[in-house]
Amino acid sequence: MRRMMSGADRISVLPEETKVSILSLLPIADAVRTSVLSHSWRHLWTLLPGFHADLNPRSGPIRRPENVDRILSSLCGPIRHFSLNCSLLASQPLCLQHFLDLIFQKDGLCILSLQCTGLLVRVQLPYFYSLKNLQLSCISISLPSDFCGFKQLTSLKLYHVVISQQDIQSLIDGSKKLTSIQLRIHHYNHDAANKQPLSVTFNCPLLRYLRFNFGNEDVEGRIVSAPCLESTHVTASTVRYIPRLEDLVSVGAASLKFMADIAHVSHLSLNFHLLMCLSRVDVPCTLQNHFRQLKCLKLIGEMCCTDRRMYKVLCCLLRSMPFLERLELQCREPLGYEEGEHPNELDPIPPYEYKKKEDGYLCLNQTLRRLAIFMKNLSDLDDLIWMIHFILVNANALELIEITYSYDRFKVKSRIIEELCQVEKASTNAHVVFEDTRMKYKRYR
Amino acid sequence: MARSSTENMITLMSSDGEEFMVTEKVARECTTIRNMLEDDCVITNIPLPNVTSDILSMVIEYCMEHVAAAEKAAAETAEKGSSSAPAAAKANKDLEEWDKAFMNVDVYTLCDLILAANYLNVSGLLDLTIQTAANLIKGKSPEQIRKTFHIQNDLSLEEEEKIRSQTPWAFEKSE
Repeated sequence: MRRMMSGADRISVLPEETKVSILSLLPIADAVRTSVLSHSWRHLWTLLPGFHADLNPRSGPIRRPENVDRILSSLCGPIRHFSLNCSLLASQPLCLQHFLDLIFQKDGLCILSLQCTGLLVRVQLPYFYSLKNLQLSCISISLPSDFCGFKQLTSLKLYHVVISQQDIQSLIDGSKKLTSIQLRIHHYNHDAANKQPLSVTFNCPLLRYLRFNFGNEDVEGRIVSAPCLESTHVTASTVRYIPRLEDLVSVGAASLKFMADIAHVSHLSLNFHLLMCLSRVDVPCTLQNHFRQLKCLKLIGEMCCTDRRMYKVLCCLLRSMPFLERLELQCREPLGYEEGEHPNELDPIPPYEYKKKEDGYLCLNQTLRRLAIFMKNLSDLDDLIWMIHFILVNANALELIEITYSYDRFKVKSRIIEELCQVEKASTNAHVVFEDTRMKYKRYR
Repeated sequence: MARSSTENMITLMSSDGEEFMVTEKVARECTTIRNMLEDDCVITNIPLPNVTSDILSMVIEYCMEHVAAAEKAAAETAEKGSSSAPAAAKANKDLEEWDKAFMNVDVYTLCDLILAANYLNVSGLLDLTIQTAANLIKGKSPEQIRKTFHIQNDLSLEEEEKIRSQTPWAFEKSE
C-alpha cells in the first residue's frame, strides 16, 4: 500500500483537459467507467464535449434510450458533438426528439449525426446556431417555422431523409457556408394528390462537392449558382423492380438539365442507372465540348448493358469532355435487375461498332492518359470489357492503365492480359499496372 | 544530418541541466519553441525547466524522425513531379510502425511524455501519447486500470457502490 502511494500515480496529475482528451478517445461506456477510479476521476467524464451512442443492442452496452438521456443530462455541456446509431422500435418513438431538445438546451452543438433504421420517426431539428456538420440517415425531419438556415453549416448529408419542399429549400438557401452537400431525399407526403416532384435549387457561393440523387422521378435539382463547385456525383436510384419507361425518360430529362448546370466541374461521377436514364432520352449534340474543365470522369456500377443506346450515351459524354485526363470504371452498386429483366428489349451492339472514331473525340485523341478499373472478380470484367475495348481502340494518348481487383488471384490477370492482347490498341506505349489486395506487381508493355 | 552545418542550431536545456543541440527545423516541431523563435529570432539557448533530460531526448528523437520523414516525402515529390500513391502509403506505414515501436514504454514514461508534449505543444506526439493511454484504458475494468496506472482508490466502498448504481450499464461488461 505504501509503495503504491509513493507518487507513482502519474496519470491522475495530468492537466484536466489532457485527461478529458484521453477520455474523449474512448467509447462512452469506458469513459463513464473511470468515474470509480478515485475521487479525482469521479466527475471527469462529465466534462466530455460529446459522445457517440450506439443503441443497437448487440453492439453496445448503452442499449436503452434512458441511458442516453442520463448521459446527456450528466454532461456539464456545452455538447459539441453527438452521434447516434439506432434501430427505432415502436416502443421508443419519442426519444429522438427528447435527445435533440436536451442537446439544444446545452448549446454549442457543432456535429450531429443520426443514423436510424427501422421505424421512420419524424423529428423537428432545433435551431442549432453553431452547427457545422449535419448527417442524417433514414429519418423524417422538419425545421422550426422561423428557420432561416444554419449559418455555420459547412457539410450536409441527408441519406434517405424525408423532408418537405419548403424545409429543404430553406435549409440549402439559408446555409451559405455549405461546402459539401450530399442529398438523397424523399417527399414528405409522397402519396398526396400533389404529384409535383421535390425540387431543389442550389444557390451556394462556397459549394465544392455536391452529390445528388434523382430518386425515381420524385426529385429534381437545378443549380442557380455554385461558382466553386469542383466535384459532382450524380446518381439515379437503383431500383429492385422493373422501372417504367416514362420514369426513366423523366429522370433522364431532369438529369440532362442538371448536367447543363455543372459544366465547370473538374470531377464528375455518374452511376450506371443514371446513364441508363440518359440513354432513354435524346442526348442533344449541343453537349459537345460542354465539360471543358472536366479532368476526371468516374462511372460507377455494373456497365453490363452492352446496349446500343448506352454506348451512344458514353460516346456523347466523351465528346462533351475535350480535356478529360482520367477515366475510372468502378464495379459496385449491384443492380437489382435479374437476368433478362432489363427494361425494354436490349439492342446489342455488334462488335464492329467498337471501330475507331474519326472525329469529335478530343479527349480520346489528345488528353486521356489514365484509365483506372476497379473490380472484384471475373464477372465484373465481363461487364466492363466492351467499354475497355472501346477506350483501348480509340485512346491515342493513353499512358497508364491501372487495374485493381481482389479475391480472384491469378485468373483475372491472365484474362485481362488475354483480352488486352486481342485488341488493336491506339496507343502503343501504354503500360499496365495490376494491383490486388495482397500482391503488387507491375508489368510493362 | 549532412546539411546541419548550414542550418541554425538551437540548444535546448532540460530541467536537470543537460544540453541538447538540435537544428532549428527540429526545434520548430514544438509549437511552444516555434513561438519563442518567432518572437525573438536571435535566441539560440532555450531552458525547458519542465522537462527532464531523458524525456527531452525522447521528444527530440520523435521530432527528428518526423522531420526526416517529411523531408524525404517532399524530396520524392519534387523529384518525380508528383507523389506516387503507393510510395506515400508505404512511407506513412513505416512512420506508423516507428511510432508504434516508439510507444513501447512504461506508463510513467508515457505520462511524462504526455506532459512534455502538452507543454512543448507537439501536436503529433500529444495525439500519439494520449491515444496510447486511451488504449490502455479501453475495455478494462476499474481494478485493471488502477493497477496499470497505479491509481490509489480513495473512494469508500459505499461511495463506489453509489457511483456504480448511477450508471449500471457501463459496468455490466467489466463485472
